Amino acid sequence: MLSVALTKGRLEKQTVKLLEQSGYGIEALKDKGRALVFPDSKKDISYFLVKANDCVTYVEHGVADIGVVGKDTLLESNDQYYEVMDLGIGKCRFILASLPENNVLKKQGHIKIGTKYPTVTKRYFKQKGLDVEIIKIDGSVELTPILGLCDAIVDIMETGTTLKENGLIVFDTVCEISARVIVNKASFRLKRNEIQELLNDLKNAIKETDYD
Amino acid sequence: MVEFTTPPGTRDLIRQECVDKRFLEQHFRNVFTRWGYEEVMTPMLEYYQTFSIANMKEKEVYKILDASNRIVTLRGDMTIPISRVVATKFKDSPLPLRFQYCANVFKVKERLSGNQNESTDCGVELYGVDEPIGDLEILVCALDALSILEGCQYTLEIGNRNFFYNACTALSLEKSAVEKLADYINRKSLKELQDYVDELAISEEHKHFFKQLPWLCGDLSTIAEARSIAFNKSLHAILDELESLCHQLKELGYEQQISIDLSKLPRMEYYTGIIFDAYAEGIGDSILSGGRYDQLTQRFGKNISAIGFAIRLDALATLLHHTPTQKTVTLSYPTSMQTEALKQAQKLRETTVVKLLTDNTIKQIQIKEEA
Repeated sequence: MLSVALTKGRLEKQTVKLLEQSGYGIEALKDKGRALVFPDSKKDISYFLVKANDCVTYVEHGVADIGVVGKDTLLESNDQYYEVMDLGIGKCRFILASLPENNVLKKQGHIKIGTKYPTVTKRYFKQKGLDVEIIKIDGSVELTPILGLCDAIVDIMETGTTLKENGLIVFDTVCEISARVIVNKASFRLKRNEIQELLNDLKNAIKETDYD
Repeated sequence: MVEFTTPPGTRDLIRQECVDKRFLEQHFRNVFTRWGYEEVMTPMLEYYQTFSIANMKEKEVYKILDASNRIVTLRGDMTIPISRVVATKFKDSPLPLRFQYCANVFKVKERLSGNQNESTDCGVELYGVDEPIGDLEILVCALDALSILEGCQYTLEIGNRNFFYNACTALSLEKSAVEKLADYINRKSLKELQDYVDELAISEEHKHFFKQLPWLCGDLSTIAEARSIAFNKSLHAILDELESLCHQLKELGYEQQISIDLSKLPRMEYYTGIIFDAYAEGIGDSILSGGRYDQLTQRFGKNISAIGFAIRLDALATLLHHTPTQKTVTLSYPTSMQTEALKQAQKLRETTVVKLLTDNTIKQIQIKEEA
């Protein structure tokens, strides 16, 4: 019996579709009502839908054997799991953006960066050899350079519409993001065959479909 | 306002939690004693230098200044202090030496990750028995200790840190490249591994080696699988040794309890040969880990080969529960009869646990057995 934690929201639909194409019995997930746990109608698997950060936590503690979660969330977490597969869905990227006149990569003096993702931001600027102050913002990060709280932002960009509407431009790509399959360290050993079967099914489904 | 809580990553244990943990501790102590391991106790505080010489990660160590402004640490593991003891106090003693311990160790972990900063390790260290003799002995001892898990699904997974590191040395990879590869393989971060390996200036055969490595884990047939990617004599020699080790374990009846992971990388820098971890269903991380560390005592002044392992008592205690069989009675008495009650209780204590309770609604002493 495998338990699989799926991330609610943006990734949910695409993940469920991929599972369906892999031949899994996910009817319960499509018509979910108020239930929290969804048994697979064909395989010995149960799914549950959780927030991205919780998906990592569940897998780390072994409550879920497998999780499907965005790379953005993994980059903010602390690596107590195996990241075994790139599903190639939910693609977007982390970018460094600001007002056109504010290129922080060339700025001299103190730099302030607004972001929801302090770990990613810290690592990025460390690689660049820049010392920056990070200000954690919870929503509408695009506001901070406009209001002058920060010099630039590090955020996720899907289409770029929000940035454009606020007059911000992209200065650099921090990294690419897509949905990943993560596996609990003990489950990887103790349920190796079941997990490998699921991974193979997913791999085949990805091959058949072009998600780009 | 003062809040009376404990620092992050520490916890109070109460009632059944203590019972479970002490029961396990006693079990492992008994096993290790029967294997001839003597107990050793070292101070909770050590000089920082002792741990830095063993390359314990700086940010994982609790640091305190002592009265003369030297940096002392709360011990991060027991292998390092015991190696210090062996290399100094036992430098002229006949070998082998066998030591066991059950002690609290301290590591600073990521906040709010649900990990403990203070935890109890119960383990053994065997000094002066080289590979492969010492390897087999210590593995069988670990399997013997783990037999308490009968009925749970568990596995002892064996690897050798040299399978990866010898490959890197043979290809003269730079230190930074080795670190990157080790990190990706350790996390089985397969997408990043693939992208990174493709960038390296090595042959296709060698690229294939690193890409396949994370999958080289499973039952004993993994060793045969690994033959197909092992590209030089030294790698084959490691597989030969592992094969004969597993063959002996099989002969001893442990085939079902062991598995192989050639992508296993050491948790500590000081390991030099085989490394192993045990996993049990229901516990997210390893419950036992160990390996060979032949060059650690040398850093403390005396070169002695060594191998050992530690069991993570706190993780295991959440899995195994123990019901004490000791009979318990409650002895109730009116205050006026306390002397008599204490007399009777003393007699009863020879065979049972006695809890005293004052009750002024009764006239006589009452003894009730607890369910």
